[in-house]
Amino acid sequence: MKNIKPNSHQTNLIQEVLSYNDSQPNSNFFNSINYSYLFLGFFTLFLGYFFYLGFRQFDPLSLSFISTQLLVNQQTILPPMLLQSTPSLIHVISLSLINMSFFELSKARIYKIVSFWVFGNILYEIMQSPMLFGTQLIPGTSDPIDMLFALVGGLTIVLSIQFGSNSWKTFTAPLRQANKRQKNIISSFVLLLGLWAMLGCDDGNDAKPIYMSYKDLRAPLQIQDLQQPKVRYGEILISDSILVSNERNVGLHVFDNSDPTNPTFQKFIKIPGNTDMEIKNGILYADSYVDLLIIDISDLNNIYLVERHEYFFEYNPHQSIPSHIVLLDLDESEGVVVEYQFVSGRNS
Amino acid sequence: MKLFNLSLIIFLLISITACKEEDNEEPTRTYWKKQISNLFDISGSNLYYIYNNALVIQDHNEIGEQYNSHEINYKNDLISFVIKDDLLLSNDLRQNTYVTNISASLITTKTRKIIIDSKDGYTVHNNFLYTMTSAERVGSGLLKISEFSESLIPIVQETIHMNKISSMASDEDVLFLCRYELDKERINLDSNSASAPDPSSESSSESSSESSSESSSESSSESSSESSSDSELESEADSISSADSNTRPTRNVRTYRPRLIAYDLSDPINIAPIEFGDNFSCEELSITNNHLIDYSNQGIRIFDISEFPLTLLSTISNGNGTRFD
Repeated sequence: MKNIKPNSHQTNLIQEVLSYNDSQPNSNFFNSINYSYLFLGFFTLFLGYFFYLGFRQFDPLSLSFISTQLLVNQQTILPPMLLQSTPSLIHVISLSLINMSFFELSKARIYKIVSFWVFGNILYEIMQSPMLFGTQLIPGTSDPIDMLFALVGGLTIVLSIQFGSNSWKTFTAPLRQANKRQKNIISSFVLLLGLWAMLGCDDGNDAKPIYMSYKDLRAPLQIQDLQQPKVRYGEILISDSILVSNERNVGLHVFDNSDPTNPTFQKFIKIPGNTDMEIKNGILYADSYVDLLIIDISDLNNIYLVERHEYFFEYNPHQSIPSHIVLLDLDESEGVVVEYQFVSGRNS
Repeated sequence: MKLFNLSLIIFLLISITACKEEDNEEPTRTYWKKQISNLFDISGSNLYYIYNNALVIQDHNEIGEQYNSHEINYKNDLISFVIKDDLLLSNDLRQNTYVTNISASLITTKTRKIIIDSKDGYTVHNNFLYTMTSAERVGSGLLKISEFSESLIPIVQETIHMNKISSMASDEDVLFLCRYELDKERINLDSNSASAPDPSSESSSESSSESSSESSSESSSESSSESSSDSELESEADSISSADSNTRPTRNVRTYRPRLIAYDLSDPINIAPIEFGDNFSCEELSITNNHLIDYSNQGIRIFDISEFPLTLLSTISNGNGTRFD
């Protein structure tokens, strides 16, 4: 085999190429990452994770970030608005920082990245609203405050660039630029991570409906003489010597109001799914989920159901459950929805 | 590098697969549609109720047997309605407000969409529409008085600036309106004192736009031991006065308390206050059969409004139940 040796010119060319390749910033992908941003981004993301752990009913093993109900006992620690909307702020800040860590940054590019996540969040909120499209395109509750917090998150980054330029310059030290392919992969990764965190395969609000059968709903009217220990009085109607107050979805508390200075409890009429009532000429009209009940209360010792108009009102599966719950495989023929069970196994 | 990319792709594939597995079950999802705040009402011999996008009006007997039925159809889901005098006002899911004159024949009657700037609450009296704005910021409330034209267009006759309005109701010739008014008091800064407000709740930038009695030079000689009311909307630090060694430090705070004002509506535009009432929770007001109902978290208080001054008739306290929201 003939030994081919490069001539001096060729040797110089090879050495030049080798030295050129060594000097190129793209040679090492990891060198193209701004680890300060990456750390801050993931740190913020984990703050969000722990925020969920602390303040929401959240499955720690779930990687979804759009769960769900506030823990009631935590509502006293922070204002509800802050508890509800902080995730939007965290989402924008963390994803923007992670995104920014993979790019050689200019102010224009930072604004583009931040705007992307801010408007992504706003679009997400808009798609949760049934008002614009007639139905919800994404499960959840659309909240303008969330949009505002997303905007605040974006402004936090932008303003820190504007007014914290010295410290920011430390972060924005020139980075060696990754090649196009690497940037595409990284951008796709961050995009998917962000969208997944936002939309994901979340089932946090998915729940199976628990029904009360129509037979149970239409069981004979229960009238109790004892006052309930836990009462949350709702709407009040006064008619002649009778005072009636409803307890939403539970029933009606009937008082003798012949002495207006001392209304005395008389009867509790158990009416599942009651939200509204009217009295006319001693006749009480009350809804019971889909039915309209007509009850004679002219004699408080002899209250009785005069008539039940079945399927009078439209079926409303969310009458007794919070609006953010997404019901799976609802079957109206099973009965009315009185409770729900999360598919993820947590308690309702 | 290749290992890193490969791990990324595997990570994403696992994530997508996990989602797909659940999606394969393809359950039917039912989302929230609407909450109706007033499901039905009875006026005259008619029963009014919401069904789908329509308000159904039924002429009925006492056991609900219907004779005639008429429907007013709306483009969007109807969520509430109120009948006052001969007018029916309704709201849909998109916060549009509609008005219908129900004194005329229901077949020929027309429903008009109207523009109400302040959607927080309204009441109707003698063909006048009273709307309120309960903005978050103290001092930014508005009461607008509009007169309905023959074609049911509300034309604004009067706009009154007043502090945050929380609720309103009207009956006969009286408009009951709850608003927050300045109540300045000096409180003790002693950390052991229960009267000291949470510093986080104080705002030094808040100011009232109302020009009435809310001058910052206002002073109070109330006792420093007076505790803050539960009904305070907001407290604001004005100044901290350093005290000598014998006096604990005190400061003036602006607090806002709800106050009920009854306006005489006999002249529907130039309304005049005829009654002031303190110690109202003012979270929600309603009127039933000459009784004013003042709802609060603690319970319900019932006032006789057949004559002034208002008389507290009775109080019904809540138990430990929780409200469904």
